[in-house]
This record gives sequence, structure tokens and C-alpha cells, in this order.
Amino acid sequence: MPYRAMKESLNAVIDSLSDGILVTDKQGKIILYNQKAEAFLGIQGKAALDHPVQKHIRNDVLVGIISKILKLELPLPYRAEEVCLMDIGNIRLRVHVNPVRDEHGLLIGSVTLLHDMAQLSAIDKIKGNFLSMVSHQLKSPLSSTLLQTSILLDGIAGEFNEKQRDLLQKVKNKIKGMVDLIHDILDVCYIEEGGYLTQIENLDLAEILQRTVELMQPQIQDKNIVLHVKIEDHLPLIIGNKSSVEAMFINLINNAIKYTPSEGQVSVEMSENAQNVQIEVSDTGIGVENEDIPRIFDKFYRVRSESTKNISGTGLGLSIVKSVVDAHRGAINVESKVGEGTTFTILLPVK
Amino acid sequence: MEKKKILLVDDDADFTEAVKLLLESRSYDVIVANDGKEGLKKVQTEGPNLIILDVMMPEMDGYQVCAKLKADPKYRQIPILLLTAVGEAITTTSYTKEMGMKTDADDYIPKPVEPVALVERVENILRIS
Repeated sequence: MPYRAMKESLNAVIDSLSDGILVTDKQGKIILYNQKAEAFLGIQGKAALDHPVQKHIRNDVLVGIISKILKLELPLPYRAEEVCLMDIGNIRLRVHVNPVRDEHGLLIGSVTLLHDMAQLSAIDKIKGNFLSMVSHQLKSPLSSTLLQTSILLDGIAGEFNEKQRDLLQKVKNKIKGMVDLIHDILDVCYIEEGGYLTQIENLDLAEILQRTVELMQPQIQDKNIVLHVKIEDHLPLIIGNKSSVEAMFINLINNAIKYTPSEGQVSVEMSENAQNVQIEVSDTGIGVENEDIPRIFDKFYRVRSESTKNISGTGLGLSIVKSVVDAHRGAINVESKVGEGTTFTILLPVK
Repeated sequence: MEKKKILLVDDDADFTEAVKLLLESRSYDVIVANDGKEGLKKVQTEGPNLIILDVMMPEMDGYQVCAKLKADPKYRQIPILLLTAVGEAITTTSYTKEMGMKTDADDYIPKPVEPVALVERVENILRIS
């Protein structure tokens, strides 16, 4: 097929896609895009062709991600892809940016896919909303039941013998576990449905952390844990969602407390590191085996061993932490020594 | 010493039954209203020392009841403890606390409540007022 005809065919094909496509060369110059990309990004016709990506694309986040992909060094990681949710105008888009390699594996450009989330199939929508709906429906009756059980245990409706009280305490613990699970599921839904996108603002991490620490005093005192907090002065503000970041801190500190025996220590340090705010949460807890480390961020994954036998939890805490870090385009790292403790290090980029 | 009277406004019958038992065991008189409208009526007829108000109720929610009461000079001084239920946002955070803070309520406590915490709050508020 002659080159011209092939090119026209290809253009017809990509213009028929319901997703936007945008391709740049290695220097970030736009070399190809389709009609949907024009619509999503507000570009007039082919005006952006041959221009640097930041000239016609107003969205700084997107430009930033494309630049990041183009700066990748050899050897290119096997799965070098950036995915994130963003609102451009009134449209919620899921954006995938991949490096383009030539036959020798060298980076020659980037390709961006813009997917309109409103296009979610009916099934996906029902599935997404359904989980939230079910969780809300379960939350109320469970909360009431928890209260009723607590009150029973208090002896207000009459005294119990030891056996009855013991059994009832177990019932209460189970219900509390379910209530915690539902809270965590709702958190996960919130993040995955991009609910946080509607509430993005400048965040003072120091303030959020301090508030979180206050909230967690009862748990800290219960276990006689010493919590050290060290926050550098004049930390830059980051752009993000307050509720999610709070949930991230809560889950991290909660995790540290849970897996640290009584009288242990947990420390939280925040400092500036290159163009990021660095958050380090360390504990003197039971630690994690190296082979378990990659899995601790998986949903519902819980390390099963002698030392974790009696620790209750939903298995969602760290997956929530990771989702929040990802949503803020940050990075998280774990270092641990069994029997000595664990350190989580998070970097959240400053915009 | 006269018993303090608490008006509990919440549409969840299991919840109100349990809280009533709890507070009565601590020597408070408890009156229950099942929705906002009934709640407002009972403030007039019962003259409570404290109102515990659930946020999530059909028709008139807790925020509206609170706003109405605080706008009325007759009832403004009755302390209101808001039971802030968690919305669809991150549920375990103080996001809900902020919702409570935006009203004129005197205090707030998120559901699910720990009995001990609820009793403590009630005692604190009634001691101050």
C-alpha cells in the first residue's frame, strides 16, 4: 500500500477511537494526536503538531508526567507507565503515559492515552457504586449492634456470668472488626472512584500530621508506646486531598502501633528532600520478612505467622496508604528487619 | 439533686434504645425523638438540658435542626452534641469532625460511638453549661 494511503488509513483509525491519543518525540515535541485528544485537551485542529508539549497543553500535571516518562534512563524498567486520574474541564480522565521504544529498546518518545471515565461501562459503574452502597447499608446496623453489645457488656441490662461475658466480648470484637472493614472498604472506594479529585487544595502536611497524632493518642497510650514526632520547619506545601492524606497518616501510624509490642517506639519524621516532602515512619516492631515485603501493599494481604497471630486487622490499611501515595504521584519504600522494626519512607512531590 | 434531662434525636431505633439504656444507667432522664420535626417539638415541650442530635436523618437532618435551634433565642443556650455520621469521604478521619465544626453545635462525636466516650462528652458538656 502506498505510504500516503497507509497514513490516511491510520489517521482514520485513530480518529475513530473513543480514547484520546497523543504522541511526542524524545524531546517532547508533539508528533501525532487524534480528534478525541483535541477535544479533551482543548487543542484547535492540528495547531499543536510539531510544537513542544507544554506550549499547547495547559494541564501542568499531564505535561509533568510526559516529561517524567521522557527522562527515563536505560535500561527502561519493564513496566514504565504512569497512570493517573485527572479532571480536565468537566471531564474525568484516566491518563496512561508510556515510553515508546525502538527495536533496540531505546526511548524514542512517549504515547499518552486519555480515557474518559464517564465511558465506564454500565457494569463497571454498577460495580463501583454498588460496593459503596452496600458498605453504607451495612455500616448503620453494624454500628448500632456494636453499641448494643458494648452496653450489654457494661452490665447495664443485667450482669453476666464469666462464660457469657467472655463469649459476648468475642462477639463485640468480631463486630468491631466488621465495622473497621467497612470503613476501610469505603476508603478504598473513595480513592478508586477518584472522589478525592473534586477536593484538591494546598496542604500543610505538618498540620495534618499533628492533628492525626492527637486523634491517635488513645491507641498510643493503651499500648504504652512512645511516639516521637519530628517535623522540619518551613516545609513546602503540597497539592493534594486533605482527607486522603489524613487517612494515609492514620493507616501508617496505626500499622506501626499494631505491629509494635507494648512499651515500644514509633517515630514519625517529616523533612524536605529534593523536590519532595519526605515522611519516615519507623517502629521497633516485629518487622517483615523480605519475601513478604512486596505483598504487604496488596489488598487484604496479611502476614500470617506466630508473631502476627493475635493481631487483628482488615488487611486494607497499607493498600490505602499506597493508593493515596500513588494518587499524589509520590513514592513509597519499605525497609525492615525481623525482630527489630520497620521503616516506611514516603516521598510526596511538591508542585 | 434534680436529674438532668437529655433529648436524643435519631431515626435509628436500635441506636436510641441502646443510648437510652446507657444514659439512664448514669442517672439521666432520656427522651427520644425519631426525626427532626419531632425533635423540635420535644425541645419545646420537654425543656431538655442537652440535645444529642444525629446528623443523618431523612427530611430534616441534624444540621438543619441545629441551625433552627441556635437561631432561636429561646433555645440557643441548650447545648447540642452532634452525632456526626461519616459521609462518603474517607471515613476514619477527622473529615467528619470538620463537618461538625462548621455548625454552631457545642460539640460533636462521630459514629460509631464508644459508650465510655459518649458518657464522658455528655458529662463534660453538662458540667460546663
